[in-house]
Parts: sequence; C-alpha cells; structure tokens
Amino acid sequence: MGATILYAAISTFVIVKVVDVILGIRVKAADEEMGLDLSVHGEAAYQT
Amino acid sequence: MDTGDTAWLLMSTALVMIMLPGLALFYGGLVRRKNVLSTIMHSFFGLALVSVVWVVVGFTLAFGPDVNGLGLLGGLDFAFFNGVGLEPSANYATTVPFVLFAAFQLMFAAITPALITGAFAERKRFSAFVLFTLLWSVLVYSPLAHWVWSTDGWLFKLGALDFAGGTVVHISSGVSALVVALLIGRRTVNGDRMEPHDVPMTVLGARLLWFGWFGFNAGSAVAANGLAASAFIVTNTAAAAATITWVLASYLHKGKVSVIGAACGAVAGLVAITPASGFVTVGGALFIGLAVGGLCYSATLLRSRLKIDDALDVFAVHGVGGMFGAVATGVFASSAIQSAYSGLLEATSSSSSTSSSPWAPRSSTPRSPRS
Repeated sequence: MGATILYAAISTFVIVKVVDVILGIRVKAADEEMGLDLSVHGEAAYQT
Repeated sequence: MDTGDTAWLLMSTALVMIMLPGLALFYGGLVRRKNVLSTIMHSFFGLALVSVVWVVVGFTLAFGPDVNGLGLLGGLDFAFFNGVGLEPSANYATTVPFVLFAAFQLMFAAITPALITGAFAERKRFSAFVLFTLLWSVLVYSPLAHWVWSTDGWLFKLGALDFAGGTVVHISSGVSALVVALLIGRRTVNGDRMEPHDVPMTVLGARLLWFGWFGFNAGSAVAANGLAASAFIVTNTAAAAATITWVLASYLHKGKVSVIGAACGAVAGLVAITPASGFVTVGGALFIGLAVGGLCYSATLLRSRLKIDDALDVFAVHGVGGMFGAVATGVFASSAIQSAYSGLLEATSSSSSTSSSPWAPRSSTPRSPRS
C-alpha cells in the first residue's frame, strides 16, 4: 500500500508539473469566473 | 471456455462502464451550475480517451509479460491487442475470451482517472486534462495494475490482496487527487454559493455507481459462481451500512439528515469494500461499511478544516476509503469465502506455496493476505 501511495503521489506530482509547463493546468481567472461550460466548451447546460 | 462466466463478465464490463456516466452525474451535481458540462465532459471524454489508449498500449503495459522480470511493467507483446484474442489466456480469467478480460480491465482503467477529475473540477484547462489523463493512465495506472494484478507483478508476488481495485483504483486516484488539488490551487469563489447545484443529479449518479459497482466487484470474480454472488452481497451490504453511518454522522454533527451525505456515504462504502469484496463475509462487510461511513465523513471535515480544495472530496472518499478497505481486507479475509485467504481475525497460520493470479482459479493452500 505504501508503495502505491508513494508512487502515485510522486508520479502525479511530476506529471502535473510537466503538463503545467507544456500547457498550463489552470484556466485563466476570467474563464474560471465565467464558468468552464461557456469559456471552455461554449455551451450552456440549461436554458434559463 | 465457460459460457456462463463469459456472459457474466460481458455484463460486468457493461456495468462498470455505466459507472462513468454515474460518476459524471455524481460529480456534476456537486459543482456550480456554470461548470456542470465541463465536469461531465471529464468523465465522458476520459472514457473515450482511455478506451483508445488502453487498446493501444495501456493493456499491454499492465498485463503483458513482464519486461525484465522485476515485476514493474509489462512489455509491448499485447500492444494494439495483438495476441489478445478470442481464446482464454492461461493466466487471467481462464474461462473467458482473453479479449473480454482485457475489455473488462479497460473499464477499470477508464474510471480511475475519471475519479481524479473531482479534485480539479471547475478550474482545469481542458487540454491539460487530456494530456494529464493520457500520461496518468500510461505512467501510473498501467504500472500499478501490473504491480498488483499481473502474475509477474512485484506486489502481487509479495501477497498483496486487491480483489477489485482498492489499491490500483481508489488509493491511487485518491492520493493523486490530493496532489493535483494541492498543485492547482483553490477555486476562486467571488461570492458564488459553493454548494451543489443539482442534488438529484448527484443522488442519481451515486445510485448508478452502486448499480455499476456490482459489475466492478462481483465481476472481478471473473466467473459466474458463488464467489461472484458473495462479492455481490457484500458490496451491497457495505454500501448500505456506510450510507447509514454517514447519514447518522451528518445528523449528529449538523442536526439534519443529509441527502448528499447518503450519496457520499454509499460511495465510501463501495470504495472500502472493493478490495475486500472477494474475501470477506457479510459480517465483515457490515463492519467495513459502518466504520468507513464515519471515517470518510471525518476525513471530509478534516479536508475542509485544512482548507485543501479537493473540490469533490476525492481523497477523503477514495483515498481514505481505499486505504481503510485495504487494511480491513487483511483483517477480515475469511477462508469461508476463499479457502486460500485468511485474515488477521481468523488468525490462522500462513503457508504460502504457489501463488495464483487473482484472476485465475483458486489454489487451496492457506495464505495470509498482506495489504
């Protein structure tokens, strides 16, 4: 179990860092404020 | 080849698949309205992505013959499902087509990274999610699956018992979720009401998860037999018991019986019983469920107090629940379920001789499980 925890934690850490460098993991603040449905997908879930 | 086993495993594969839309709805209802599509898309696209990755390289890395004998990773023998055909494997699920075993495993591979999405909901870039999922599936999931479930795997050889994925699926995703949540940072609130926008959606999702989990656990018997039936009933029992304790905990803590709590409790119970489902009796399942409901509830409180924005409590439920389930397996494994496995509670002596794959017919030599 410990091996799993360590391996998962460390490799995830590395992967996130790499992805962050290549693509950036977090959306821009304005997009986050607008909501990802609109800013990322250009779609609204509900019609009201 | 056994037609009963094959039919059941086909059904189980489909049941595990339904856990993906179940998860999408479970998570979707918990986020703010403006992010529900994004949340749902994580599970949906995750299934699509991993489905492709798995047949290309994921399956072979997990279940292919070991690369160097160290039990760390499979080779590329089965890339593109080469050699994964209609005949049963000699090592895994020996009574069903090998390709069916691989398809069943695909669903596990697909849902695991989908679990992590709960930690970074509402703020992760889609392209980053895609790349993250791809890398995680290949570099984390497949190796872990190899370590624990491959007959060559080093953890398997050490006696690790994980019937349906407590370690490979839940602990891994729970821990990874925590790491991502810490790295990506807290969500921006700006006066939004941070509460579930659609509780019925969440509850429906939890119910679909419970339904699909029968395939996840009972299907892991890879046979239409008593073991599957036993896994079925302990799964239900643990989910039910954990629902009750979580609801009770929410009542004692806040004075109200929480409906969301019922949904979360059920999921916690299902997580915890996962590694144990092929080894414990109903009595063990009752205890596991009753305990994990309270345990995971407390974990969510702690998370909140520590101000870690693991948005949908992936670590508290899957990580903590998975760890608890893994330990509980070691305590409650009963030789009445599988004569080869006996836990601390039974306190029988161990004498391990031939190790058998968790997916193969059982040997009859008693063996103490280790988590």
